[in-house]
Amino acid sequence: MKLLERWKILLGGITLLPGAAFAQANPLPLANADWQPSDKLQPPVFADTLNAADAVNIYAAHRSHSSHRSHSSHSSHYSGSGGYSAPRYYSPPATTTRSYSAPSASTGSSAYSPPGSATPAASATRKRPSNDQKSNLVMRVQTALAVRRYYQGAVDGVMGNATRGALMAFQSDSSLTVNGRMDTATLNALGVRIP
Amino acid sequence: MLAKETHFAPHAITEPRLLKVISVEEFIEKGLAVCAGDACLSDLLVWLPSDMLLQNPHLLSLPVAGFITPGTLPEGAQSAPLHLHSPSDQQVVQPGDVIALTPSSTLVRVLYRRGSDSNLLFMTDRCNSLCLMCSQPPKDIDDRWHIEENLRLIDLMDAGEENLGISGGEPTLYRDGLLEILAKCKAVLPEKSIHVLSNGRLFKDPSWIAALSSLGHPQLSWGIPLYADNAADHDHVVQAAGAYSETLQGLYNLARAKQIIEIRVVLSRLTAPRLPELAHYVFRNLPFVRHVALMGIESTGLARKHHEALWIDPLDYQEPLSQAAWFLFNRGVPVSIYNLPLCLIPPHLSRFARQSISDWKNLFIDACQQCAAIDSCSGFFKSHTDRWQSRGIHPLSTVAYEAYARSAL
Repeated sequence: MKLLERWKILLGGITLLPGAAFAQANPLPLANADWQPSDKLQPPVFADTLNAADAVNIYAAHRSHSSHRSHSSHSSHYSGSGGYSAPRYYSPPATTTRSYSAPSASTGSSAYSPPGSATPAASATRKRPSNDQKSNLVMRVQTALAVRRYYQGAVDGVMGNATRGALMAFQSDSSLTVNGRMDTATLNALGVRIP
Repeated sequence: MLAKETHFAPHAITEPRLLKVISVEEFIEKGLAVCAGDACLSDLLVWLPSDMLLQNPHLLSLPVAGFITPGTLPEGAQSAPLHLHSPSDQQVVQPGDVIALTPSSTLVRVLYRRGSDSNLLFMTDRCNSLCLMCSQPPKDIDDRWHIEENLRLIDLMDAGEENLGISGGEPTLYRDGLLEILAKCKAVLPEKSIHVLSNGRLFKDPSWIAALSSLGHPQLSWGIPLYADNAADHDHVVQAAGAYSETLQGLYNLARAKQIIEIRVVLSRLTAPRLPELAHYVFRNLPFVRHVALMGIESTGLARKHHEALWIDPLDYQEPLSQAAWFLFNRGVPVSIYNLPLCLIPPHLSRFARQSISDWKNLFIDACQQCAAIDSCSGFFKSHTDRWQSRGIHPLSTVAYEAYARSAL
């Protein structure tokens, strides 16, 4: 960095290193002196739900909204990709060769690989969830129903009669459409974010 | 200060495991998406306080790795095959944390603490230097398993913009592993800024330039220690001949790779006298440096053994410290003073003082309890002892603290 640029940094009160707060001179003014409040600058109003009304819900067993992608505003703090995003898969850089080996033989190979790791299809299609994804969501719904005293059975990820019955009882008590399906309104009422 | 490990009642796992602690509410809302990377149900440890366990015993049928109850198991409650309970310290493990379990040990270590800015990927116990004041003395062992552990840990962390440190030992000793970890941080934890502590000696090898350039991590910075403006003093502090030359070549190679570089100076009897010269040297020869940290010594590890050679009362190096800090500041180099309590620096240096000590090893001593500045002071390392206590430690009155606050503007 040139000396001149250093002075610019000092005068601008800009810090370049992330994370640390460096004391600097000359904070910028917060707003122009001629700033006027305007009707157009009202705070935005957010709908108070987890999932937007037109969120893509591939688990609801109907497809009328499957072309929408407006889910993005609700998943913006994940990877930034809009709508449903498949789990990220990390692949090591192609150029490096892994010269190290797994933990020493005495502790067994690869001590931290998840046992029986689920490998859902890497390119999950937008319209049909894989069985693992479906079963994970059903488990979360079963848990939510169990905590609310609607469901007493095993949390097994199977949408059986007991689960469907509990779901319908919950929908009925919550003034929702009673259809026994994991539609977006029901997931919102249960506090379940669509994956 | 909140410790990073505690004991739970014995459990019966047969292989080391990393597990993500998750509350029932969070499991319902987010499911596996609480983990930043690739995870499955068998990575989860569900947080079941005893009242929830009594009311919802059927939650134990969840096909997760296990459950954790932050207290004693209530009378007559069912429990799962892996069910952690009865911790010695109830505060240590909380929902969101990633913990490590080891077979036949009751010790549970927190490897990732939700919301903390002091989380660390520990790379290795090995090091190619043997600094006189090393707080973490190196061991000559093959511990490459840390690489796998860290890669797994990254998957299980929260996404979100906390700082993440990478340290050791000397992390660059496992070059490919470090590059793989950095690439994975970029892919899985893009919001986290990464700070790597390295002595910089191995960057002498120019092949790092291409590797780091192609990595292109946007929020990666390197903390490299430099202890003197001359080779003899520096090589003595790090107890390695030729280290000064290697570190300098490394610094230039990092600059060629357009990396963000911080220079770290540990203040001791050996380094304090020539601080102004060192500041001048850095300004003249390392103009790409983004930050200089002048750091109080941590009184643990090898430092305790070398107390006589290293100890100098911070009151006695106020003058060179002050010269160095203002020299750099006046020339536009961001500079910080780490690990020194406010009562040991003159008010005009308080603008440089940071609360720099990691939360899990930070404490305040008895003399601090009446101090007005306790909320903005770095405090002490948990290893602090009388032998390392300055004669200048004293509580600041409200009036005295105002002088510090005013001159920090």
